[in-house]
This record gives sequence, structure tokens and C-alpha cells, in this order.
Amino acid sequence: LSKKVLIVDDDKDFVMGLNVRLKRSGYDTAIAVDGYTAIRVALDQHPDLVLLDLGLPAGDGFVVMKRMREHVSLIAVPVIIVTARDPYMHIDRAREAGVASFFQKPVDNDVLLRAIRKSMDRV
Amino acid sequence: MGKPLRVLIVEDSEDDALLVLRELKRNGYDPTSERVETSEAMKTVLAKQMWDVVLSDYSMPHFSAPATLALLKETGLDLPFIVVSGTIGEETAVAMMKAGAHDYLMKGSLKRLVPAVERELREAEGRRERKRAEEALRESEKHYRRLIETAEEGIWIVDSENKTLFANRKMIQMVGYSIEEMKGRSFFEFTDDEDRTLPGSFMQSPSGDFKGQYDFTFRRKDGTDLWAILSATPISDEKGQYAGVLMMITDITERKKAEKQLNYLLDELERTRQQQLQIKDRFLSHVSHELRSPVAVIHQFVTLLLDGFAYDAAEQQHYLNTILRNVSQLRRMIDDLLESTRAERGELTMECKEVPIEELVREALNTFRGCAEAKGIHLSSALPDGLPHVYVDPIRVLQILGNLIDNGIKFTGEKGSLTVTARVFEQNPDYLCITVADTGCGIGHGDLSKIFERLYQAKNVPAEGRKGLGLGLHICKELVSRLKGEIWAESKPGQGSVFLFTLPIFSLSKIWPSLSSFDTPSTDAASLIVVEFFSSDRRLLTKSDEVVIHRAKNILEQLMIPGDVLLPQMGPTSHSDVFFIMARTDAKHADELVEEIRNALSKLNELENSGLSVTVSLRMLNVPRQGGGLWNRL
Repeated sequence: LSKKVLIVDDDKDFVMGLNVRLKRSGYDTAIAVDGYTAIRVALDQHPDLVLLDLGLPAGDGFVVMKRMREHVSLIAVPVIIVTARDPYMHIDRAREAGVASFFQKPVDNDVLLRAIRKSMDRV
Repeated sequence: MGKPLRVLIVEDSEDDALLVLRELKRNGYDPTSERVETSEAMKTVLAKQMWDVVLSDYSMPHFSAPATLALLKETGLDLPFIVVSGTIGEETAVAMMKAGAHDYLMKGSLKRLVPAVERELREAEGRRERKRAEEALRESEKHYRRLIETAEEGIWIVDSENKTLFANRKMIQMVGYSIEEMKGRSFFEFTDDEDRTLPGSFMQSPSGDFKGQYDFTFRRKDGTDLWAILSATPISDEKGQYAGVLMMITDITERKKAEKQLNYLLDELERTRQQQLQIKDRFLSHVSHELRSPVAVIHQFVTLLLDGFAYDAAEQQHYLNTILRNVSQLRRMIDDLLESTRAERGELTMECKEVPIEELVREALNTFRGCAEAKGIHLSSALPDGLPHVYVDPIRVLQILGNLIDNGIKFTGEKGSLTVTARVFEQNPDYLCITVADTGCGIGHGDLSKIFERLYQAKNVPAEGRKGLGLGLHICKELVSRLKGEIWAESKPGQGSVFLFTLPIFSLSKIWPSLSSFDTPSTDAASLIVVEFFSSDRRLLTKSDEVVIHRAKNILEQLMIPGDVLLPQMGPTSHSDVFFIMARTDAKHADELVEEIRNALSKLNELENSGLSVTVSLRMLNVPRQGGGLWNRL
């Protein structure tokens, strides 16, 4: 059974590209383009990992993480941040929120895939 | 050689005088002398030369010792005066001595003469010495007083109990008290310097170790502070006991104030600099963030293609289109960035000319037609006939319209519409008001006032709307204001937005400056005849007005010499409420032509009937033939 990755990003082009790459790398995917939908989709699809953007409409990345922790089924799901924002300004807060990794766009595909694999193994 | 001695002898007897001289010579003197026996003669010799001693007989037929003495005193000379007489009683002698004679001798015993003369010479010398010393002292006191009173520094002397003994004029001026108010009062009553900057309230250390300079604040009589530098020197009395302090005080209040002001300005500068740095940091962070998004997408799809993840040609095509779209977006961002930087530096160039707004609106809409159709958005314009032309840089107006239309499309969903309109601005008929209205998501009240700020991006808007640097509207605002117009927006969330901006309507006065800038003398002198039609209420022309104008135009054309006429505003489509015609002619015929035009138009009763007035004006111009545009226009 394939592992499922939820991609949360409001840049539709980016989501589409990442989606193709993950699928062709053997993952199942789910997609959300805003913070509110992210939680709905996560509860519905039970992803094994979330790739999360920080700047999102309807609840930014930090709000999404906070709300994920409110649901028992989502507490243990690892989160990897993939954002265009400056890591120096957000990495501390992201660590506190318990993210597995933090990447700034554009991210090297192999590095990202390795991080995804590692995070899921740990769980 | 005997000692020289200048002797003035007041004596009526030649023999007696010789006796006296002999006595002096016998005692080692070499006297030079004159003998006088009248007041006049004495005055003459006193004035003629200096004397060492006066020897005077007591009574003479025309003179006397008291008179001689009185005369001598009158002259102010301090010479030894010795009475040498044969017939004088003791009482008279005493009276003479009291009157100021120095000695008294009997002619019969001249033995005492020389000792008396020598003693008196010595004493007179002593007196002169003392007088010289006193004068020197007085002179030096005067000198010091002047120094103290004219000093640009305050001088303050206190006694051993800190009580004021003296303050110079400058000091009095500085503290604002009178010397009477200061004298006897403690120095410390003139300050509320709580720190007591002066060591151990300085009089308590009479050892003098407080000598030095201090910053000190006095309290003036009017309650204000006097900032000063005070240098203190202890004073001792003759026995070496501590007797007080001499203080030199320099007013540095102005300097302190200037320092305070300077410090304030420096702080302000630093604050502004910090703010600027913060703004720059935020800007850079923002820009790098926004540029990364399209770069990430391009990176994604390029690697997908490279890794062979596009399975067929259609998929490849799709990926490449996505890349192209994001490249375009990057390019737009970079353009915006440069444009906004130029705007910040005030380097936006403007080349204004007279343009029909309709053309600009049409061109702008055409540029976005494809893009709008792809989203199912209907683009349209509503422009009334006969709009006056605007005086703008057409490229800049296209930029403004482009930004607003692009924005509108971004924030409007499928099946929406976007409309551009233009009308004469109700609040100021010198302007056109252009509106760009969409049926999109609208703008929240909180955002409405901020959308024209640099880098502002509204939150909670569709993702597509955030693809940009947040500079578009800022650039629009800069451009509109450079074109002397204004821009603002009206909106309610969910009910679409309207962006409105004003542009100046073209009138001849707008180009007068550029026309008259050709005022350098030239052989290419030409006269410009301007005919302007005004509707009295500046309303737009009605159809009936058009007919009148048309007739007027025909009359004008008939009057002008063919080839000299330029009718820039008379085209069939570009109606304006202000029409004008420019004719180039040589100076000689210009006046006649103006008169002819006036006469011809005055016969056109329809002009008045339709509420139009006409002005015909004449301007002399020096138009260089190689001047390009302007010459071609005339």
C-alpha cells in the first residue's frame, strides 16, 4: 500500500508539479490550496505526511499545524514546511510547532524526497 | 667739576644772589641760575626751563616770598622752596612753612644752605617717586577695571563664606540680578545645582584643591537656566589665609541648547536611518519571497521534464506553458521592481501630449482580451461621444490602465466582467475621470486605504491575486500623481471594486509653455493665430453645436492661406468643448488675418444662439524649422 502525502500550497502551478513528482515517485497524494481545506482533507484522507506552505489564505501554515494537533488522528502526522518565506524568520516557530523539516523554495527534489522518506520511517 | 644744580633765585639784590651762589660753589656745586625779582619774570623763567630748587628772599620792592610760593604752587611744580632772608621774624617764618615753604634761612648764616638744599632735593625726589608710583598704580587699576568690565566672561569673587564681594558687568548681565541684589549673598543662592558639582561645596576645602574647571548651572533671576563653565581659583590674604574664590564664568547656554538640538537631530537621523534599514530589509525579504515562488514552479517543471516525467507531447506542452507563464510573471515582477525604484527616486519620465482617451482605453483592453477570455471574463468600455482629449504621456496611461485591468482580471472569478468608463470629472471639469470596475471579490474596508502603499498585499484574497510584488497599485499612484491626477478606489467586499483616476483635459494653455519656449530670436519667426470656442458652461458639445463649429471651420479654412492652416482639433471624431485652430503665417499678415477671422466669425449668429463664445488670439513665435514636432504641427 502506497503512503499518502498531503500537499498544502496556494500556488496551483507548484502544487501540480509537486503532485506529478510525488505520484511518479510512488506516493499517493492529496491536495489543499488553503488552510481551512487542509484540515478537512487531512481528516478525510488520513495522510502519512503533510507538505505545508506557510503563507496560505484561510489560516496560514502555523494555524494549520495548531489545528492538526487538536485532532487525535492528526497529532502524529509529520509536517514538512516548503515555503518561499525566509527560514531565519520562521524556523524557530516552526521547530516549536514540531515540524520534521523546513525547506525554502525552490527545493532540490532528491533532498525533499529523502526527507519525506525519513520522516515517514521515523513514524 | 661740581655737581650741576639749577637754581632759581628770587632776589632784588645782585650781591645777595652772588653770595648764595658762592656758598653753593664752595660746597661742590656748579650752579646755573637766574635771578628774578618780579612775578612776570618768574613766570617766564619757570616756563623756559626745569629747575631743581627755588631760593627766595622774603621781601622785595616788587615781589615777596608768599607771592613767589603762591605762584609756584599755581604752576603745579613740586620744587624745593627755601626762603633766604635777612629780616624776618619767627612768626612769619612759621607762617611761610605752613604755607608750604620747605625751609627758612638767614642771609647772615648761609652755613645751613647747602644741607637744606640737599635735604630738600632728596625729599622732592622722594615725593616725585611716590607720585610716579601712585600714577602707575592708578593707571594699572584703570587698566584692570576696564579688562574686568569689558570681559566677555563673567567674573565673580566671593569671600571665605561664599558671600559675593564682586561681580563684573558681564556676570550681572548673565544672571539678570543687579550688583546690589548680589552683594553679600551666598554664591549658592544663585543656583539650584543639586548635584553640587563643585567639590565639597567648594569653599569648605580651603586648601585650594578645588582649583579647576567645572560645568555649572546657575538659575537666572527670570528662572531660566544659565549653563556655564566655571573656573575657580582660591584667593589668599596677606597672611596666606584662605580668603575666598575668584571665578571666571563662561556662558555656554547657547552651546548647550545647540548641543541638545544637535543631539535631538542626530537621534532623529538615527531613528530614520533605522526605519529606512527596516523598510529596506522588509522590502528585500518580501521581494525575495515573491520571486522565489515562480522560480520554484519553473524549477519544478524543468526537473520534471529533465527526469522524463512528461509522458507525452501534450503533457510536455503543458509543462512548458506553465514554465513560460511563470517566467512572464517573473519578468513582470522585475519590471515592477525597477519601475517602483524609479518612482521612489522620482525618475519616472513623462512625455505629455494631447491624446484622445478612447484610443488608450481601446488599446489597453485589447492587450488583455485574450487573458480575460481564458478566464471567461467579459471586457467592455463605456465612453460617451465627444470626450475632450487628455494631456498625458500615453505610454504611462497605458501602464496605469494595464495595471488596473490586470488586477481586475486577477480578482474577478469566472463569468465576471470588467468595464472601463470615462467622463468629465464632476468635481473638476478640467479633468477626465476614468474608472475601471470589476465584479470581483471586492476590497475590505481595512485594505481600501492601504492598497496604494508600496508592497501592500491584501490578505485572504485568491492565490492568483497575490502573484505579484504588491507594487502595481503603488506604481499606478506614482504615475497618476506625476500626470497631475488622483487615484482612489471604491469597493465593498463581495461586490466588486471600482478604481477611479483623473487625468488633465488638454487645453491650449497646457502647451503654451512649450510653445513659448521657442522665444529665441530667429529668422523663422511665425505668428500663431489661435481660435478657441468655449461653450459658456463648459458642457460637452451637443450635435447642434457641432454644426455651428463645422460652419465656423469652413469660414476659417476659406480665410487661411492654403498650407498655412492646421486644424488639429477639427477631425470628425474628436469633438471637444474647447476647439482651437492654429494658423502659421508671417508676421506681416498676422494682424490682418486676425481681424478678418474676427469679422467673419462675428457674422455667424448661430454661435451666440448655441451658447458658444469664440476668442481669437495672436502669438508671435520663433519656430525653428528643424525643431521637429512643433514645426510639423504648425
